[in-house]
Amino acid sequence: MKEYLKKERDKISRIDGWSAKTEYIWQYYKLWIIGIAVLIFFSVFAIRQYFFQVNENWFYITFTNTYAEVGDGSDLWKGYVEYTGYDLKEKNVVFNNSSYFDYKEGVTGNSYFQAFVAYTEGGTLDAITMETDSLTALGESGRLIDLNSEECASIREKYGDRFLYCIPLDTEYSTEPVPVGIDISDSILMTRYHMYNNSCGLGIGAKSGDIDAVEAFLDYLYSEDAR
Amino acid sequence: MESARTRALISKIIIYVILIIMAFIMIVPFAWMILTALKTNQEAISVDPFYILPQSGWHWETFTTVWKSYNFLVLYKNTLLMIFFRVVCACLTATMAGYAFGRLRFPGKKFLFSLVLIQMMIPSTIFIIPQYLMVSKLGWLNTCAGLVFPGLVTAFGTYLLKTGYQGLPKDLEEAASIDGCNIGMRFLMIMMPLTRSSMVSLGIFTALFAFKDLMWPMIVCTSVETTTLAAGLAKAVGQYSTKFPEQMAAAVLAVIPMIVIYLIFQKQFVEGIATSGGKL
Amino acid sequence: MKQKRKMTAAAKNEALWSYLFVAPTIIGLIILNFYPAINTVYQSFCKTGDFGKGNTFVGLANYQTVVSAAETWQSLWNTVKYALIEVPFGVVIALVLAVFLKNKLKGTSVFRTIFFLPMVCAPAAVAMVWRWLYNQQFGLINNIFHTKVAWISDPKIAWISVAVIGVWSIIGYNMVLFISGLQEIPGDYYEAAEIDGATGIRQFFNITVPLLSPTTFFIVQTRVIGALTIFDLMFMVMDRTNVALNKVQSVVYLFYQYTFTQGNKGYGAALVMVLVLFIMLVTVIMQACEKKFVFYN
Repeated sequence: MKEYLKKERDKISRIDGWSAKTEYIWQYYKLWIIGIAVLIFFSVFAIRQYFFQVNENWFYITFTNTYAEVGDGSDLWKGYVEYTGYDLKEKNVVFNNSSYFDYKEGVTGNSYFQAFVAYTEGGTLDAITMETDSLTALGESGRLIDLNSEECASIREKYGDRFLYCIPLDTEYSTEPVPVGIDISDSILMTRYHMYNNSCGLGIGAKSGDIDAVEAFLDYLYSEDAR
Repeated sequence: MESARTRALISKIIIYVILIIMAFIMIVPFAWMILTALKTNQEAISVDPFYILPQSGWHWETFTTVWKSYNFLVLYKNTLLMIFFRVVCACLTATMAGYAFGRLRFPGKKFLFSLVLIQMMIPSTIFIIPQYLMVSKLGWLNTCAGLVFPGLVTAFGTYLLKTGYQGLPKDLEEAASIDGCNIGMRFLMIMMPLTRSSMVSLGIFTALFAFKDLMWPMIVCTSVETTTLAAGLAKAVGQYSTKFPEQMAAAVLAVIPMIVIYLIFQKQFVEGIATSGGKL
Repeated sequence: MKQKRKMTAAAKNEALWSYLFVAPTIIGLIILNFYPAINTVYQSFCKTGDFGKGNTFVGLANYQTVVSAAETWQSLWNTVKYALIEVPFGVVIALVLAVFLKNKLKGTSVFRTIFFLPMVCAPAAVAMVWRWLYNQQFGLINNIFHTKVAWISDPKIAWISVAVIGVWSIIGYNMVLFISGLQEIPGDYYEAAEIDGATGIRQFFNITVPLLSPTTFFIVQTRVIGALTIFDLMFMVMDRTNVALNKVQSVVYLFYQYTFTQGNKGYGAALVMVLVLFIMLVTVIMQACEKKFVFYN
């Protein structure tokens, strides 16, 4: 290898003129140059992102099947951030309003549904809203948290009378109705933002680690300053 | 002599007839996309075959409305960047591995190659969630790097290039090794340029899969500023939207750069004949 | 075979270079694909926890259910039937087209571009066109032949209708590969054959087919794997309520139903393991046949 490098260096130094030299190097080594450039770009980028990007979320909610303006930076988003006082330099608050799937209608091959599954299993997704009948149908798959569980004790206390129930597909888990959603049809999501036509339910992701933030969201929806 | 010439003419006509029939079969969906874009929504959802052509005039304005309502330039930029990086990464890693698998001998070759084959046997849907978790841990969500991530290596391409290298004559390399070239140089100077057409087809496929992939961009790039054409349009239109003319107009606009890329690659195919045809 | 000779310096050098060359690909595959795959293997031994509960280890229980379920074997048979149509027709038609396009005819680049178009079309458009073609009342096919065939809801023929779409959509891919394979056949072979007075068909069988056999083998191998893992065709044209779905759905389609739709990942994982084992078996047989049918110069 050393010998080869020496030979090449001699060869290059013997070529006259800079343009001819670069021409030679480019012709023979372009793939290596591109490859190494890409590699360097990637590693620099990877490391930079790893250290400087805010990776975690305070709260991540998906509003499905709606065209209402409730994404990041919307009034709803601003109101929630202000209400909770979360520091956005530390973690993010994400309101995702582009997702379209309905479990009742079948979801095979639906990319939005697959994204929902990825977010749920990854523990990213904290909450999801859709029409109540769609939500209870979705609940059957076990992707939403059982609101009878201990983590949700405080939510149960406040919103227990609004719970939506479904019978799970997995009969070993339970043959009795399990609470999987909260009916929020009378909240500002409907009265002010007109997100859905008939009703609105909110479910919590099965692996969500931010149930306090979900509770804060519910509190915000029914707080005085939201109205 | 006369009969040979008529025979050649007849075979030429037969070939053309077959090609034209096939071309017609192949072009139907594309023509359908354009025709649907020019119809009204009412006409578009009609299944009556006698409404192939728009009945109430040609609605070219759909294209302008669609162009104005999405940020196509940003989407084009993101898509082309992703395609560029994926093609570079795939070609680079696949050509190296393909050369080793196709022409070199080393212990464990069979085992390592079986890994490559097994990767192709596993339905790709099982990779998505773990890969999403990795990207999210790396902080690559909503970045170009996140989009490129699953395309860093390619089992299909490795196998393709291996086949390409295996097909080359043996004596080519022997001459070079007598000249004192080491393996790296032999690969770079002699072998790699000869598999150009395999590389071009790998480039086409990588670009195509990257372009058509809807799931991955949708999961890692949730904001419209960073996502690709396929995901961006799906996002904006919505899966349950019934505005078929708008959907199809957007799809036609999205396809144009892809066809341009293909035409560029195709030129490489033809040049491939000129460079490698004589040498072999 | 089991000679344990000490490696010579040259062989060592060659092995070193080889490892350097395969390292990026293998490391990438391990991180991107095999780590998730091993996770799936593990899951196939577990009962998936719902509603935020953890997994429980159940041993081979999932496999028992998978193997004893009739729908597993039905879907595997559907998949094999699909592959038996898609692979031969897709390969032969693409090969013929690629050879035609190699002739120096006028307009070849136009044809090449047209044959490429199905690959870039939006899936929604493709689905709409085929639904329209197959429609029982208004469909073009039934209108032309004055029939009333239920192309995609009659369990007896639905699988053929779906496989036809598969062939149609794969021709372009195979053709691109064949064209690139044809580039690597030296032109002088054909010149020599022409001097000998061999006709086009003779040239095709005596030169093109044997010299193209590595490419053909590659395409057949990858297409067999691709056809056995087919998924999206099944939902593109068939509704969930279609009565023929049972006789058409592939293993991966079934896997999707369990893993994604119903959230039963353990069962889905066991199902996919059965499929992978089956494909491995087919691949091993094909690799064994490679030496017999493939000609390397």
